[in-house]
Amino acid sequence: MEVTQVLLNAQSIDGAVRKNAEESLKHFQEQNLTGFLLLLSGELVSEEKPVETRKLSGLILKNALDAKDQQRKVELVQRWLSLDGNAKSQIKAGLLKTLSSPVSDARSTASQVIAKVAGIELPHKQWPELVGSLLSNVHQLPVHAKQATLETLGYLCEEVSPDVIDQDQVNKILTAVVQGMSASEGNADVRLAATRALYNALGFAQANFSNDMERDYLMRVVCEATLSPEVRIRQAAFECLVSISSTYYEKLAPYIQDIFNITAKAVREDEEPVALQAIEFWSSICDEEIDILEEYGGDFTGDSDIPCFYFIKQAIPALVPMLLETLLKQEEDQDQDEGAWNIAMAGGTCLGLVARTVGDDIVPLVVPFIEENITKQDWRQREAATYAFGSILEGPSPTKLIPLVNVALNFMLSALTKDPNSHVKDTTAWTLGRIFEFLHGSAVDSPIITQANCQQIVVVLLQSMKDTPNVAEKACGALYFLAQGYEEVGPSSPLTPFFQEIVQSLLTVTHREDARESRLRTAAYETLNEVVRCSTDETAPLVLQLVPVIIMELHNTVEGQKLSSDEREKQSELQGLLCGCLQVIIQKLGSSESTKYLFLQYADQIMGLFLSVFACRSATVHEEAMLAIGALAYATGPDFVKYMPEFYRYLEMGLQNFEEYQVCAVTVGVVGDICRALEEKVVPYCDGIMTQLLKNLSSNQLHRSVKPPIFSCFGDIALAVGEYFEKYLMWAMSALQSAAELSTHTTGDDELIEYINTLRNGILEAYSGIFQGFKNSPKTQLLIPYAPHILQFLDGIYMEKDMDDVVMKTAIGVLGDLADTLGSHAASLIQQSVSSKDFLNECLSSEDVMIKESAEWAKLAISRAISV
Amino acid sequence: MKWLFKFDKDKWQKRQRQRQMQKNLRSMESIRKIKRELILFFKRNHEFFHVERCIEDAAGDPIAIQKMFDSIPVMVRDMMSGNESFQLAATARVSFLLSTENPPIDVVIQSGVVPHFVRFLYEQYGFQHKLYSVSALYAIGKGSLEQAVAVIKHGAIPMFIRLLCCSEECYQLKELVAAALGSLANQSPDFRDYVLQFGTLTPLLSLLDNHLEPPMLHEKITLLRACSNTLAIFCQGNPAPSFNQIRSALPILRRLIHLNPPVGVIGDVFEDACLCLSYLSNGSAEQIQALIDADVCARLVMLLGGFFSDGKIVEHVLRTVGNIFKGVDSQIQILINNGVFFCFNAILMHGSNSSVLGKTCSAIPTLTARGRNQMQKIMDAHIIPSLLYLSQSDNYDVEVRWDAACALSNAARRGSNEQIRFLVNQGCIGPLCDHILCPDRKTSILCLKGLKSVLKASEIMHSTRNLYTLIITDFDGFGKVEKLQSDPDIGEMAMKLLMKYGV
Repeated sequence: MEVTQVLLNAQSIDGAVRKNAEESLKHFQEQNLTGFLLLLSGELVSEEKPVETRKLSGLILKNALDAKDQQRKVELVQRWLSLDGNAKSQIKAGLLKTLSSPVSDARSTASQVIAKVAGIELPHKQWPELVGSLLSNVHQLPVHAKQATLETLGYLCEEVSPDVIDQDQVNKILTAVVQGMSASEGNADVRLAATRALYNALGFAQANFSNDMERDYLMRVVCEATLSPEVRIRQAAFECLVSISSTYYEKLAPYIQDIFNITAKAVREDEEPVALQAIEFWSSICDEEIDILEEYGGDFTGDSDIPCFYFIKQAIPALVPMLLETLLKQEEDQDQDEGAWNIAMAGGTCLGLVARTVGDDIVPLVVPFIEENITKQDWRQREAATYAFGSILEGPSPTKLIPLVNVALNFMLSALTKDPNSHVKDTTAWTLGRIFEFLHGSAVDSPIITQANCQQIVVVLLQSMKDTPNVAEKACGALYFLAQGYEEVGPSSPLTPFFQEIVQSLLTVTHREDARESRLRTAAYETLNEVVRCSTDETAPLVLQLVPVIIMELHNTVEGQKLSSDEREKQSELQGLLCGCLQVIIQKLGSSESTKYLFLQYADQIMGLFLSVFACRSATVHEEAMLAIGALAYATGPDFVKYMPEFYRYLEMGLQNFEEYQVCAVTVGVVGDICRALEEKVVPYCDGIMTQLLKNLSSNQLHRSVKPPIFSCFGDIALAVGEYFEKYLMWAMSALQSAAELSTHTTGDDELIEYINTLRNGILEAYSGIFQGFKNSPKTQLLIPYAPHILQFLDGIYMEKDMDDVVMKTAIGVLGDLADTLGSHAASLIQQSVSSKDFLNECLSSEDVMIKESAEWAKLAISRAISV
Repeated sequence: MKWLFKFDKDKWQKRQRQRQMQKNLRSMESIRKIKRELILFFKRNHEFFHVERCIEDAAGDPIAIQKMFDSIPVMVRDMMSGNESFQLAATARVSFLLSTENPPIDVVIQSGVVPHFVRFLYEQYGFQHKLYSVSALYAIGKGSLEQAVAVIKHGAIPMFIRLLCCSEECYQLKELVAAALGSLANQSPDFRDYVLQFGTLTPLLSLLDNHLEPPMLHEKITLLRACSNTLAIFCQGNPAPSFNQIRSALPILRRLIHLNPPVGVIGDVFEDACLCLSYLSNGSAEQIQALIDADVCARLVMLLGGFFSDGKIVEHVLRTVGNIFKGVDSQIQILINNGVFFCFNAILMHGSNSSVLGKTCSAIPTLTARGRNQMQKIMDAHIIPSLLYLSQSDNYDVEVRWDAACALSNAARRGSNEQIRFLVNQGCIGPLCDHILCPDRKTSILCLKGLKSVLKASEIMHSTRNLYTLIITDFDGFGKVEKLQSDPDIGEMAMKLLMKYGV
């Protein structure tokens, strides 16, 4: 095969040629993978070949090593590891050789491929000479090779985890990188590559950051790089600083003053990409301190691993004025651009974080700026003042803020309708939303919204919904929080008199021509849902009137005409909004018997529409419709059975779709809803459901987040069908048992431990459901053989001492369920378990009411089991 | 953009689309969590939520009862636990077992749960807790004396009184409490006095007082019945309760005997009230005066005029009347003024109930014993012919004839010569002779004594010839007396009579 020509053809503008070339590449890859990869690496390394084919062959190589899909990735890794060693050596040698190619695209491609190979091989202790040979390159080769090698080191650090490379090699890598960054390095490309490499290598530098001298040195080099004449180096250096601020927060004290000076200069004088990173540094420090202070505020007073250095508190006299300055640097029309991001926005964001970090202290620093600018002629000043005000509404105490808000509210309301500048109106509406979000609601002692101004607020917001899309969207947002604040207001809401008008206005917004393309329509539905959710019984008849309106809207979306894929996407999105809205309404009306009864007259019609929504797609089910069906099942109860014959296939389709794991997870949840609604009437559908659930569990493609809900779902099914679950018992128990074994012990980061606890909870819920489902049935003895393992699981997770409160409550409940259902059959087993003693006692003396309650029940169940 | 702080455009846009979905998902998840927990809660507390059905199923099924019996230790544990639903389920079961044919009272007492039954009567426990506990305590209190002691010992009575006084209606509970108090008082006069000593009577009376107004719901009536029954228990016994302790019941009793119509359960309440009056009237003249002052006499006499199928009410009233006949003359006169004799006559002439007839006959000697003055009033009221008729009528039980004969012979014994003449002229020698060989010794003796009295009067009135011996001979009186000579008690009297008057 003339590979160069094929690769060129694969990039042809002629579709037929391209397709043909792609197919022959694919064919060759399937015929002889090793030969194919060798050929590609040969193409990449060859200086005679055109740059396009070298790049493409590198890209194909890279794709042969890694994929986004987790399952595919595992396959590719296995495939690479099983390839012939000689061929691999040849490929790797070619890659390394390419690093010194004069063609920059070839070098760059090779760096990425090397990193991918390293990502596979280093964890398996293969290619041990890689780091050494790269490092030797750095010291010898021409400038362009040096740059490529540093780039490779950077990718390498990104690709492999720190524990794969030993400290000695880390030291060498860092030394090489830092040397490349230092001012003495004459070549800017090398410095840039080194600085970017350091960014990735920072995670490897734990030991080095603990050593004062090494840290001083590293910090000096980074700070120096922020002063480089080359803007990309300065930006990369600031990115390093941002990364250091979160990774090594506790080491920053000696440098913080210098860093402030550097960042202040950059914010005021440097180009925007650099200035944005300089601001990001302070945002990142805020994030750190907010986390630490939150932990301080929690149960473990002063028990945080990292102490708070109060950098922000000390810096605000200088930091806040600097940030306020940035607010005045708005771009024209930034309010129209949904993706806009600039200094002013970054500065406002940082100001908000500072407010959350220091609380009340920020107020006197910002108020003069607001007062000075809010009435100025220049819209920039008015907008900056408003933005500053809006930014500091979260953090300071209500006592401090409410007097300000009381003064400002009228001004804001009038600005929202009268200010000539759309940008100012946008920010004003946003600020009103923040006022309602943080200072309005049952938790705030002195209300800022009174009978006197409530009507005015509603009128102004409804009027603003007719403004430009961006202003209208923010007005919807403000209304959202206005409604939310009245969530727990009691039987009568101040919004009741305006309810009809609000709903009408929101529906009008959803029909605006310009709402379709922007976020406005979503915002309007979101607000409509919140208004409905927080409404009181007084307005229940009006909510009921809304049902046929939304039904009609949804009906319009399923009217069959042929749609382009883009239109189909839009249709699906709108259906999502409408199904979501119906769900909120179903839940609202379903929550009281009288309104539920009235609502149910629409149930058939709604269910019919949901099925039509499903029918709009062939490959997968509509998530929002699926979820809304879950809500409908609670409203209809056992009557839902009449929809099952038609609905079942979509249910099955949702369960089968584990590629889109959210769809699968949502469907699993709905299975639970249906079990609770139908109880034993779900039996005819259980074979199919259980088969699919078990199949999903046994697939290694299933996203892990779906497993816990599947296990909980076992419990739901068992509770619904009782002893009929016998059919699936063996399979379910075996799946539970292997999951239980895997989740007894935890190692890993917080995220993994959190996941393991979720998984344990799912498993335990399944056990509870199965035990209670079988209780009082003659078939309880079928469960006896599983008792030892379940008790072992309980003992195991207890000894591990890393259960969260939820798991603890569920686990002690399972102990009780086991005793309750098996009674004297399990008495001696229970008495032998650690759970029935230490664990139970620990739960009995828990401060968590739920745990204690569960434990008391378990204690009783055990004593009953033992006493007979 | 400003809704979010951290800048990540892609993530933000995705989040914007998903935000709505996420919110709805969270709301569904929280509902699921609640529903799942609710279902588990119901299943875990199945025993409690299904206890009534379990009990219903077990009733009349000896195997199920035995099974329940065997699990008493579990129930005891449940009752002692802190879980209210288990306490309740267990209490219900134990109280059900105690209501069966062979209640395991001793087992229950020995298990130590009686104090828990009492504990469940405290305010913080729910209605069901109280109901089942009272029912259990009631069952234990109905047992032997020793068993009843267990109830008293653990302080049930003050709790019972609190429940009676509670402001909520809960008829069913109060009915059980009243019955339980009655069963304890019924154990012995000591128990009765012990129960009364807590001031039990006052709340009992106010319960009666407060529930007499219409509408007469069924549960209200059964509550009244339990109270009246217990009140009757409080009034009775030997020795009788101290009159001062129970005289406060009189005004209520007066109201009760005015209930109308006295049929069905109301009839039972009515009857209890009459029974109470019969006990209260059994005492000193002051006691009788208290009844008269309570203004019950007119109504009592009126009751004699009506006819009630079972006659119980009349019997109680007759006993009361008999008791008042033991009072002073002025007290008796009140009954007479209200027409008591008229009623007596009506009963004796038209009555069909043997027991009532007998009791009526028996009331008369009480009065004849009060002296000739009272006897004269009886004679004037034309009661003698009725007695004569009854003493010879075959329409009633033989006892009725005997009672009538006793009344006649009593009159003959106590009467003045003139009155005896009147009696003889009315024809009373025949019945006396007829019943002299009555299998009932009392009747037999009385008739003998009556004959003796008649002969003695005749001796005085007819100095030459004892006219009445002829009449007696006509009825073969002496022949019958002869047969009594061998009697160990009255043989001598018979012999003397024969010797003195025998022909």
